[in-house]
Formats: sequence, C-alpha cells, structure tokens
Amino acid sequence: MRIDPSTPVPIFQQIADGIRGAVAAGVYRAGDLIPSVRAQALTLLVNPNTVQRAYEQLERDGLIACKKGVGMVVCNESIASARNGVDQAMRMLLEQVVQYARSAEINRTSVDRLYRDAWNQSDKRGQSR
Amino acid sequence: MIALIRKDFRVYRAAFIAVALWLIVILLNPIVNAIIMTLQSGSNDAANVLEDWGMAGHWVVICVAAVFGGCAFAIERRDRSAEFLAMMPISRGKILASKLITASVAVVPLWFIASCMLAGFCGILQSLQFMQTTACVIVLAFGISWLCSALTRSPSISACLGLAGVLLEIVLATQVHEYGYSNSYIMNLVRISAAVTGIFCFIGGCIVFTWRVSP
Amino acid sequence: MSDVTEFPIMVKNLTRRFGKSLVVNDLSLSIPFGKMVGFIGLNGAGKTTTIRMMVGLLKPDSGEIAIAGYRVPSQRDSMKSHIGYVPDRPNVYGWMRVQEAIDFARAFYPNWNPDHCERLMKMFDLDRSQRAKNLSKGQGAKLSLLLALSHDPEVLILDEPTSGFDPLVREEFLQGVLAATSERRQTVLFSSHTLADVERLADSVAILHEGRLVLHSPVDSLLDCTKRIRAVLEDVSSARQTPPGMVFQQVSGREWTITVEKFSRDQVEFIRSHNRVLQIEVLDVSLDDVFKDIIRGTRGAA
Repeated sequence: MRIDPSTPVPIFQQIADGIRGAVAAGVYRAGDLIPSVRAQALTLLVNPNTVQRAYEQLERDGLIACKKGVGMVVCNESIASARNGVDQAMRMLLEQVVQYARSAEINRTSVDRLYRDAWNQSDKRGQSR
Repeated sequence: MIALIRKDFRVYRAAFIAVALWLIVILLNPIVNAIIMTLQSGSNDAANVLEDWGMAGHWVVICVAAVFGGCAFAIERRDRSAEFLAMMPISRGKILASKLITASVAVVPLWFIASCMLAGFCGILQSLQFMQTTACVIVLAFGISWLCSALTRSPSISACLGLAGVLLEIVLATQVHEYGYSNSYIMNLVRISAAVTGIFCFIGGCIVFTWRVSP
Repeated sequence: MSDVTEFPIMVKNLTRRFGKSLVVNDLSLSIPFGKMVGFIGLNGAGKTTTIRMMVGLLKPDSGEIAIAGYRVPSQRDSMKSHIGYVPDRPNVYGWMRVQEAIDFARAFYPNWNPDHCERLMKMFDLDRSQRAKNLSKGQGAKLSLLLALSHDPEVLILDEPTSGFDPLVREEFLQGVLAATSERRQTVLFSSHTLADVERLADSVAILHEGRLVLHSPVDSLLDCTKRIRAVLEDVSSARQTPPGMVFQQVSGREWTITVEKFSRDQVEFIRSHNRVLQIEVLDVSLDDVFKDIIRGTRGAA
C-alpha cells in the first residue's frame, strides 16, 4: 500500500481503500489482524490520527472490528468482506478511469459512450455474464 | 562543567600547540646556551642569556594572552557551533568560567616559567617587580582581546587589537617618561592603568556575551 | 500575558525587522498540547526567523513568546532542557565525533534518557567514531535530531529538517520523528517546503506569508472543506460573478476554476445562476493546491 499525497484523494481514504484492496486480494483474510494504528502510521509515514480515521471508516462499513486485547481484525462475515473487497477494487478501477478522463480532458458523456461501447464489444465476443 | 572545559581545551587546541612550541623555544634554547656558556666561559654570560630569554618569554606570554582572549568567542561564532552551545541548558556564567579557566591554564604557567628564568638572572626581588608589571600588561592584552572577541567574529583581529592596546600602553609610558617622572612612578602608572583597563574590558566582554540573545 | 502554560508553543504579536524589511509582522500563533503543526510558506516568508525567536536565538523587536511554559528570552535557560531544536543546518562542533557529541550533550541535560538515545542510535545507524564535519547532510541532521530527542523534550521544533535530503534519508528521518513523537505525545512544530510531508504527518498547518499568519487550521478539515469548482464558460468575455467565500480564481481558455474555503452546494448554485456556464464540477484538492491558491489569492488581494 502506498500513499500519494499529491492526488486529491484524501489520505485517510487512500488508506481505507488500500486495506479494502488488500482484503479483496486475499492479503488479509477473515479473522486476520491488521497492523495497529501506530504501526501502520510508521510504515506509511502518516499521522496516526489519519490512520485512526481510516480504521473508523472501515469499522463503520463492517470490514474490520476491534477485538479486545488483540487489535483490529478483519470481520468474519466473509460475504460482506468479499463483496466489499470486490466492490472496492471496482471502485478503485473506476476512479482511475475518471482520473484519466479528467487529465485527458474527456468529458463525462464521452466516457459513458466509451463505457457502453466496451460492454457491447465484450458481449459480442461472447464474454457476457 | 568538566565537559565544558574539555570542549574548550579542544577548541583552543591550535593556541595550545603554539604555546607548546614557544615553550620549547624558550626553554630549550636558553638552557642549552646557558649550559654551553657555563662550560665555556663562566656563569655570568649564562645569566645574561637567561635574562634575554626571560624577557622574551614575557613578551611571548603577553602575545599568548592576546591570542587566547581573541579566540574566546570568535572561533565558535565563525562556524555556528556557538549556536549549538547556546541551545544547551548551560548558564552563560559557566561558559565564561570554562573559557577563563582554559586560558589561565595556558597563560599562568608560561608567565611563571618566564619569571623564574628572569629570577635566575636578577634575583627574586627584582623579578617580582617585573612579574607584577607583566601580569598587569597580560590582563590588559587579554581583557581587550576578550572584549573584541565578544563583539566580532574574527579571533585574529581581536588578538591584534589586544596587542595594539599593549603597544599603546608602552607609547603612553614613554611619553610620560619625557616629562621626567621617575621610573617607579611610571611603572606604577603602567600597572594600574593596564590592570584597570584590562579588567574593565574583560567585564565588558562578559556582559556583552551574557546579555546578547543571538550567540 | 495570560497563563503561559496554557499552550506549549505560544507566540503573541511577534514582530521582527531586518533593516527596513518587516520579516515577521504581528504574528500570533498558539499550538495545543500533543499536536504536530506544519509551518509552511514561501522562501523569505519569515519561518526561520520566527523559529529562531521561539528557541531564543534571536531577539524579537516586540511581542511575547512562551515555549513549554517558559517565557523566551527571559527564562530561556530553564526552557532549554524542555525543548529539542533541530536547526536548518547542523551546528555541532565539526571536530566532535558522534559519541563525543552525545557525551557532551548528556553532561548538561538533567533528564537525559540513555535508553532512548541508544534506540535512536540503532534506528539512525550512525557511526560513533565519525567526526561531525565528515557526516553527510542526512547523517548530520539525524545526529541533531538524536541530540534533540534524547532528553525527552516536551516540545520539538524543527526548521526545514529534510531540505536537500535524498528520498531514502528523508523517509528515515521522518520515521525517526514520527516514532519518537507518537509514543511520547510531544508537541511538534516543523517548517517544511515539502508539502507532501506536511499533509501526511501534520495534525494542523500554519501558513505564513510575508511575515503574517494567513491560515491556521487542522489539515483534514482544511482539505475536506476546501474545494475547487471547475466550470466551463459559455462566454469568456462577459463579467463573472464570483460566489462568497472565494479564495482564488483562474481562467484558462474556457475553463474557470474557483477555489473556495468553506464549500457548500449554495456556491455551486450561485455560480450556475449568476453566470452562463455549460458544465460545473467540484474537485477535491491536495495541500499543495490549497497552499498555492491561498498564496496566489493573498497576493492578488494585496
């Protein structure tokens, strides 16, 4: 997980997304302990309060929970975490698309059109689900 | 405190080396000469040599005093280590004491040695008189260069100003001599004026260093 | 002055001139306990001058300073054992070896923590026998940081500590700061040109411009509430009506970008209703963007 302060995405959001991505990729499985606020802050070189904020968001979303005497663990509801993970990975990809569109000055209507074209192409190739 | 003094010994290392070199020159040379002369022609000439070097030794001590005074603050000011020292929780009084002790360790023994050599020539009573005069002149040289060091960044200019003060004192003494005052009167005048000016400048330097906010 | 122990770092109406120019102009800043504050501004904005006055290395022309509960410069000597200062350039005696510098400093601090010092030595991986003048830039700064942290100060003040560092050393240095301060809840003030570092590490940010404090705000609320509104103008030549709370605006071709400090939907509506625009979108900003827009906006208003 890398934090890039120069992008407009807030740092706490980058951390939360990073952990979601890690869960989706299987780096953290249900029941696994994630690094403490302080350890995470030191590894990423960010303010511990920012990590705290990210963890609070993940806790609210049900991805992690605080286990007394142990630390923050990934929740056992594997469906929730898997869905969250996949949704989050998708979200991250789409954010990249949006960022690219912005920097390449492609407006929203054009992106929608290109997106629909991509789906249609994929359908034609018989890869529809 | 010991740590401070050790630091100051290291900072003035160049000055100490100069002192050591002069010590070698002052001690070895005349002693060797004296021995040779005693062996060759008798003790009178040996005593003459001792006198010459004893006198020279006193001049050297005055220069050394000026150098140590000049180095007092200016060296640390030049390379910003004065700031490092300033940020330590040490009182400025202790810093001053350490510098004074370090300078004394160099100047006082050298003055004593030069005086002993002079005593070898002209007897203890006479040399005591001379010792007093040089002590006052040393205070003058040290005091002036100490004050200049507190005000400037250059140890060499401060030392030179200290020596200039000594030369001025000599010039004044010779001028007063023109008026026909007795030698002992002139000596007393020199002693008092040198000591007072030296102490005054020294205190001035201490005050400047203590009250100044920037190191 | 009100209770001096209220804030670990407090300056009030601080002013300092150099010759004719007013380098610090009526600056007032209070930093609460345990917070890390990033002190940012352009070169010559007055950051180093302010910091030097705070630690007692420079006399202010007017104003009051209290650090760790002690007035500066009157109670300067008592204050020094409670603060750690890392200067912009290392100032340890060049001839001193690393171990000698540690032994020297250790002799003067009553609250020196030898275990902490050892841990920092291991973390920074400094050569004990190396002379200070032979240390690289990063190593010299690490030594200054080690000496500043080893007596467990309540307040830590760093003046552009990582300028000119290579990326690896910068990271090691900041890790040292973060590791030390997060366990001890120290109050930290650091000035920096690397806004990315300030955005990552600081709880709040203080922006200095031409000697004046332009902004002092927690970083996350600043970045949450400051937005750039980007609109495409239909007609470039007609006069534009700017919404209230605008900090800075810029027009490039047909693109009109407005930076607002306290964003609300009303501002978007205002722009839409008072101007002929084709498209409006709201963008998040980084600290870098906020800083530049605030400075440009302040310059424009001046």
